[in-house]
Amino acid sequence: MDIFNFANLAEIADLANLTGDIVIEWTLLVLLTACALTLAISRHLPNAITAFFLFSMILAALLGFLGADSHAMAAAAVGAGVIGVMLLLTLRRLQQHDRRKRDEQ
Amino acid sequence: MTEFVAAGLVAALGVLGLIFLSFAVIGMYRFGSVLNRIHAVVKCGLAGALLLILALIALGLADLESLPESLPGLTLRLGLLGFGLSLSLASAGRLLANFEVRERRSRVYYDELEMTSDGKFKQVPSAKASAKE
Repeated sequence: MDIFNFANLAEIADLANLTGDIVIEWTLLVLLTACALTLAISRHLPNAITAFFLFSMILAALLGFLGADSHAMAAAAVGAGVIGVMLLLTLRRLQQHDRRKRDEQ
Repeated sequence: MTEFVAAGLVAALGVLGLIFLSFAVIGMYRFGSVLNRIHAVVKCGLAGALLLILALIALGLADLESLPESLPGLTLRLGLLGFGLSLSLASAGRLLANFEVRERRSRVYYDELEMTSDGKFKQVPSAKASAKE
């Protein structure tokens, strides 16, 4: 195959696009799985929340690559934004609860 | 020829974004402290996600046939996605770091051990904490 033949360039570009898409999607899936595992096995709550932020960001990027732009926007806003703030509020309440318990002791 | 260049640009941006995201995940595994992990995740993760979004915009630009109809909407949606990610992740990282620093301070105030008469250790609020209250 002569790569300098302009008729072949479109085919090569198509092939490169397809290969690139597959590589990017699978790598994102592997990273997503790694984040999910970290999230599941993490004992320290702030570490788990950090893993959750990265998880939701990779999920948004993956959804964007799959062509679901609106869904990716919603995932980014809800995943990293709303749920993140709610988890932080829960963490703060847990801390207050622990402090109250220590004071009682 | 334009398609070839666009495909190369998309591949370069995509691979660079993936490398940054991989660094974020590796940092999350390797670093011990929460603050270091937040640093790795927020900086590398955000850079990786924004590079991937740029790759998607380049992919939309490469599709010359549907350019007039789809490009403004696509660019706007992807731009909003990048903006939302930057805003939410940076704020969340700041809040989490703030929480961690406060918790560390309270741990310094509270985690002092005192030996009781039966030889066991008991957690007591330190003098610093009492003075603060």
